[in-house]
Amino acid sequence: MGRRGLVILFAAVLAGACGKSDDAQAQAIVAAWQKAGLEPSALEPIDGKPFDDGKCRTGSVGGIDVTMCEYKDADAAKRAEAVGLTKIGDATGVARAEGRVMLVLADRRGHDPNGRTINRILKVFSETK
Amino acid sequence: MKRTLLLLAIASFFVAARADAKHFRFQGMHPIPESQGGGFCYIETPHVHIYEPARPDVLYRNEPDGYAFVGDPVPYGYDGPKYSYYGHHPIYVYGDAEEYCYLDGPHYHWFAPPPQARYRLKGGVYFYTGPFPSVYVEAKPRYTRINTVYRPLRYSRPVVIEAPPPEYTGPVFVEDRPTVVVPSGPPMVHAGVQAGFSVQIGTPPPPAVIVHEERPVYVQERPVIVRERPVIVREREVYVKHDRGKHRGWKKWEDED
Repeated sequence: MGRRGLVILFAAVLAGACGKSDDAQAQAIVAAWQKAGLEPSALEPIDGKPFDDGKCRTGSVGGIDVTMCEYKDADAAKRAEAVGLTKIGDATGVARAEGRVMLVLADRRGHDPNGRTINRILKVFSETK
Repeated sequence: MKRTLLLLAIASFFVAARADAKHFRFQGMHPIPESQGGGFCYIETPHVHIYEPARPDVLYRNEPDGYAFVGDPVPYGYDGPKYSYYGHHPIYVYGDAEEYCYLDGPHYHWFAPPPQARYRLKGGVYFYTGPFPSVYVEAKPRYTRINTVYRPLRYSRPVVIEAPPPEYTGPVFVEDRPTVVVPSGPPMVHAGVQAGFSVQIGTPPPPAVIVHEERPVYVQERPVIVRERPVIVREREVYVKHDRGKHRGWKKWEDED
């Protein structure tokens, strides 16, 4: 294998590692919610185009609807907050970016009238980077 | 066809406006209006609700991230960590915005002042000892109306057992019920009854006690020296002026204003 081959191999390994790192971050957040007793469901992949072309998953945490999207960088995630707010609908909700991940929470079933669960979900999310 | 397109455009504009208008942004924790079940919202970061805040004119400041609650959270059922303050002071919790709290006397907030701010902690109560800039003075007529919202609320306010420190230049809280006016010559007369009664000292004689409420006042013989700064010696219990179950809601405050 020549020098060029080594470079290509290195790039491929790096790309694979980055992909795993994305998944690992999402998994770490879900695990942290689980550990905090917030009972997250499985987060299923969805089309991320409506969320400013993020890589998105959706599910629920503690009875709150959750959409978690990953972006290429922190700026893109921050910009996507505005779009995230429009997806909340007729409910109490939050769109919040931390690093490359943007989280949309919506209490569409009125599980959390005083916002304590939403606040806990956000705190765990902020602490898990 | 052109007309149809125009109608569609107008209709889509109204749908979009409604979509924008159905959320109200809040910057942090805040009371939940009675019309929405009451209580307190504990979301500490910017978030949205489908309802408007109650009394946004005095209980909130309009910040870029939404309505920022500046009142005492305790009477609305807040049960988290809290800090005691006395009188008016700056609020630092909402970023760089220069905002002030205009609540008279002892009250709570969920935030402590930052270490570099000019406060004196005395008897577990924060007294602001810094200057009040023109922005505070200019907004004072508007925002001191917050006290008309809090005065009728019945809840346990912080216990203040020590007089404000000399550096404190803000207004001093005077218990306002029942009012006893004692015109007198030397500044040493007092019609003390129960701790917490308001006493105003007039200048000239004749010595007389004027009671401005119909409630009986029991005058003790023991003279009490009146200082320049009245001191609150016990927890203040404020009694609600009931509307005999009519519950006129927020409208009554608007009427009073």
